[in-house]
Amino acid sequence: MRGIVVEVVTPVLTFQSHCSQCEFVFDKTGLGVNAAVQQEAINAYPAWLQEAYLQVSDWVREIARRYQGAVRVCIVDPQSLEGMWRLLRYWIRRYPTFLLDGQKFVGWESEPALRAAIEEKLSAQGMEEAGCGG
Amino acid sequence: MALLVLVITLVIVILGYRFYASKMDREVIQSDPKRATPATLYQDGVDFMPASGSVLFGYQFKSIAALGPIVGPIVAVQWGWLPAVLWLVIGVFFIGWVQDYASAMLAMRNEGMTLGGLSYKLISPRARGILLSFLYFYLLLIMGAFGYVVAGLLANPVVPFGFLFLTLAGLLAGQMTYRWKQDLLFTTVLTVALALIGIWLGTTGFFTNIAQGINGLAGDAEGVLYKTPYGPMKWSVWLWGIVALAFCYLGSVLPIWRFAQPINYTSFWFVLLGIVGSIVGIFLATLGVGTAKTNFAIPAFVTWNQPHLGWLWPILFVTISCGAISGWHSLVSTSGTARQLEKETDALPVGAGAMYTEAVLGVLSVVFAVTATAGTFYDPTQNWKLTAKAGGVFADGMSRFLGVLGVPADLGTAIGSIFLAVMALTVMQLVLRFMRVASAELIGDKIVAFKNPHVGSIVAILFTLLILWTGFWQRIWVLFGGANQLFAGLALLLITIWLAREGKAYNWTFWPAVFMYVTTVTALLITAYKSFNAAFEPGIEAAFVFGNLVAGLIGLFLALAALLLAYDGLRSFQRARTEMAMAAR
Repeated sequence: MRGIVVEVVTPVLTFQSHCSQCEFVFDKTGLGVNAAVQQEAINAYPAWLQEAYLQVSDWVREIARRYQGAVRVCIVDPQSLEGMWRLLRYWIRRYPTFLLDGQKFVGWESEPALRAAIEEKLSAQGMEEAGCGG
Repeated sequence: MALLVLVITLVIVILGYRFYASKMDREVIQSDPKRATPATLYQDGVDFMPASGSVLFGYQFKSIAALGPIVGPIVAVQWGWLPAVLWLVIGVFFIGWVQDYASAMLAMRNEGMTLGGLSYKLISPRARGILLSFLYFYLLLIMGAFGYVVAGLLANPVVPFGFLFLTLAGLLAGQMTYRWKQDLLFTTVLTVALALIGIWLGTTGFFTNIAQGINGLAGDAEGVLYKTPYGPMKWSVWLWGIVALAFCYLGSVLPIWRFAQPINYTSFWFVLLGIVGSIVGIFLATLGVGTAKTNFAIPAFVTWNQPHLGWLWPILFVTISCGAISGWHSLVSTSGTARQLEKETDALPVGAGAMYTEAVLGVLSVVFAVTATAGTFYDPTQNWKLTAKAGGVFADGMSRFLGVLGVPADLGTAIGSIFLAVMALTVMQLVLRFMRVASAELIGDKIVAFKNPHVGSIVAILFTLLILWTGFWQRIWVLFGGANQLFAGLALLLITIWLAREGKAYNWTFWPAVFMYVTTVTALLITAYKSFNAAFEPGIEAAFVFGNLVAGLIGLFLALAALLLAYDGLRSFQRARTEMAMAAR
């Protein structure tokens, strides 16, 4: 039995992927500066992007809580090699776009359909929904 | 010859991975695909996020490969190309992959704990403090070492305007993505195309004449402003150092999305094209396509002792740094990769695979350096001393092999130079951002001026300029490499203690740890001694006294800190062995 993987192609408030080396070093200094640098960078992003990012973060947390280990969510930054490949392969023009086994769900309006597809796949795999079944 | 060396390297790398690394993974570490990893256990959407092995391989490689594997080998071939290639291959075979892979496993089996936390837990509370002070000096050394490389690259008249156009294309990408919300595919194609056209325009007569005019504004007939103990300081390098730091200043004070991030994104695509293009060029040149030479101009072995650098052991090992082994990688493995690995069995292809790939990049840099025409960059009359900037050597190599694909020489040089400058500036501008925020947080309450972002940035820039203008870069590079390699020794020691505690075989990490410690501490002590000696030479100018004293003190501090760590670490190791023996009885 294996879990389900949902990929979410969505813009990311890139601080780390801009220079992951720097972030690792900053993280290790233990001076609490890393969080300040990160927060400053994130706060400076346009409001629409911050809201979009928060919405996706909340969704990921909710999915993780609801399905526990049965559903795994991967965030794909379109500004990465992998993200660019997804944009071209699935011709993605709007965010967030959810990918479930090659099936594309575009925008938040398709999220209920995505949920239904997840439930269907879980049933097909014979998995218990840990979050719902108690 | 170039292809032969690359092929032999690849064969050894594959054998090392297939037999040695896989055997250790299977028999000693016993990675288990069914065992839960921190990424799957703590999935928090921020730090702990499971990702596929292929994606993590890309992140790991991007995180570990910066200027180190490029500049280090180019400097190291002054002892001959064979010692450089041998250390790259043997180093990665027995030490480099061990550290990257095993530190990821160590963190994974300890709930994704960071290197600082692990040193606290496995060695002593003092070990964590020493580790943090290492990191502080490491940042300073990054600014000095990388800044000097970038200044040298921008001093080439075919480079600065191309770099300016690339920056403008990046700014446009940021505006289109975040303000105008344009389609990313369209934005990418448009801005990368504009950047490439701009880089080409920068190599045309109009712009190169302007750059040459700027380069000739001051200094003597050869553009020399003043002499340093390590060679003349040219006006062009002096000036472009300021320009590079002004770029970092903007990267530090402007929002990331406005400046640093989109410029980095736009650059990424042509950096990728540059790497792929030059590798294809080497293969085609070996097959006889084009006029690029693939025979080696520098002898396999030059000398045991390069007077201006030092003895092959230990200095070469510290000079090559990241291509063979790097302590930096253990930070990446423990803090990032270990928190994202979905399965334990992915640690080998990600951790070890990325390190082996970096060693191949190091050998590629050797090939770029030694296939240049004899006497161009390394002077045979001075024992093959490097007479040019290391960045320029790499750019020339890339240009020659891109030339096989029909790219004009000047454009190839500009692409190679901007390629390196982007890699260095990406790191530098965020280091500066960090230094600014750190100074505001740490002393902003006492000196209110530091709360102003511009003041913090400018103070950090002035400090970096002081390092650049005193010209002791060769020494800075050894200190930078030394700090880096000490991290490696520490990481290997931590892994050894962990293995001993777990009752597993540890000789395969213990002896590499001993070798790294002895080599690096010796190199640092030699560098400190040389620096102090130079500082007290009669008649030396005040700036050089200061520069050499700083270098000497940093070297001495790092060596002493390493010895303290080794003392604490070996005591902890001995305790683990005793407990193991008692448990066995």
